[in-house]
Amino acid sequence: MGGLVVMAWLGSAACAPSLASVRTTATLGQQAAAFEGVFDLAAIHCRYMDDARAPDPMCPQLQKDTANWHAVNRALVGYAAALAAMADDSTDRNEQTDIATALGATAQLGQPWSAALNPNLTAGVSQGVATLISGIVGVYRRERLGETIRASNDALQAVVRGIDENIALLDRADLNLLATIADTITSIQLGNSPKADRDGLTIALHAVEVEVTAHRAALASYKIAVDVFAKAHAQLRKKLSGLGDRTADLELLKLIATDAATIAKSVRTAITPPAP
Amino acid sequence: MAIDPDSLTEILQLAQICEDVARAALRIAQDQLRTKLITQDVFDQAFQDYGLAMQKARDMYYQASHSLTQQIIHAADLKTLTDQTAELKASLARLTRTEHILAISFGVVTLAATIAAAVTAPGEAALRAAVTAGTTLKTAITG
Repeated sequence: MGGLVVMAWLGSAACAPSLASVRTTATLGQQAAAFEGVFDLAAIHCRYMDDARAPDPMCPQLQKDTANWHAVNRALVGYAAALAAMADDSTDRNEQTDIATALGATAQLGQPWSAALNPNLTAGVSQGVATLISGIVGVYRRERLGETIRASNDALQAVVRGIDENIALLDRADLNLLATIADTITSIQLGNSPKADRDGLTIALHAVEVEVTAHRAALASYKIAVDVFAKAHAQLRKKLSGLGDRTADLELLKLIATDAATIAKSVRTAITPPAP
Repeated sequence: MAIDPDSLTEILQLAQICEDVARAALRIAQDQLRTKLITQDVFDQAFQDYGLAMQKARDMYYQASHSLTQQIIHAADLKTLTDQTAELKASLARLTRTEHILAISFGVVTLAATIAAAVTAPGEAALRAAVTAGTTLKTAITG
């Protein structure tokens, strides 16, 4: 469904005047706004383990990083809004300008990352966020566009790599939890009172299963959103000389549409559970 | 030092095999409970061991990328552990009945815990402990 919306949007953007590819890329980046809290849901399995009276020692560390992931997402979305504002500088102020400014101001990483995360990964993400914020700050003029895209591309790719890696790990942890829940349910169905049953989890198990499955879907959608944005931005970076040219813009839009479809398809394949 | 993507993939695969081993042991315990070959208490213990082993596998997923950058386990050691664990998984899949289910379930927990330790803090002693745990589990399976 999400993929169809993106494809429809790409189709309509192709009819827009020049710089449509920048606006399209910016719109793709802004789709990440819906996923600001997606890493908070790492807490699902922590709650479950707490309920099962077997607290996961990793949980306090995972929870410590959630505020930073919020800031990372704001930097991404704020940067996308800044691109949109720069591509449309017909007025001194517009909605994208306000969004970019507001998100840039709240995208600061507040705390050091927890020790649970790979320090090289978080260093790359932190540095990437700082670079994206410097792209957000300033006047939103079309003249800045090329320089900003050039200067921010590596930073954006580093941030998206960090997000992707965290998504992959949380998704695997979700799968592990789903297997545990399924096995707990079958154990309870033996008609006895195994440990989980005595702990009173029978009522909640299916609810947790639904929640974890929904979390996997949210992680997959987030992955599609950030990967498509990063790929489109990388295409922009490669074809900077074509920005503003209607024909080159159209070619770029076709490339972005193809990438979007490929990424969405591969992520969906990855989250499809294996046949029983 | 950056994460070596190949080693990371191998560790994730190893964690998956540990999960498979834990689930295979639980299946045997479930079958034995169903056919009343073991008591509820024994099953409860096996179930608890299963939960711990699954948690150790989950720890490996996190630690694999979160803490491994400085000292990722050597690829040859990883292959040894993976081959040994895959062999145990195959042995458990073939096993339909045992009189030693608690020895097996405890062996699975120990195996998952020692592999998690070898993955998160690689070293000769940690690797040796994981290999020893595998040998102990093999003995429990073969009776």
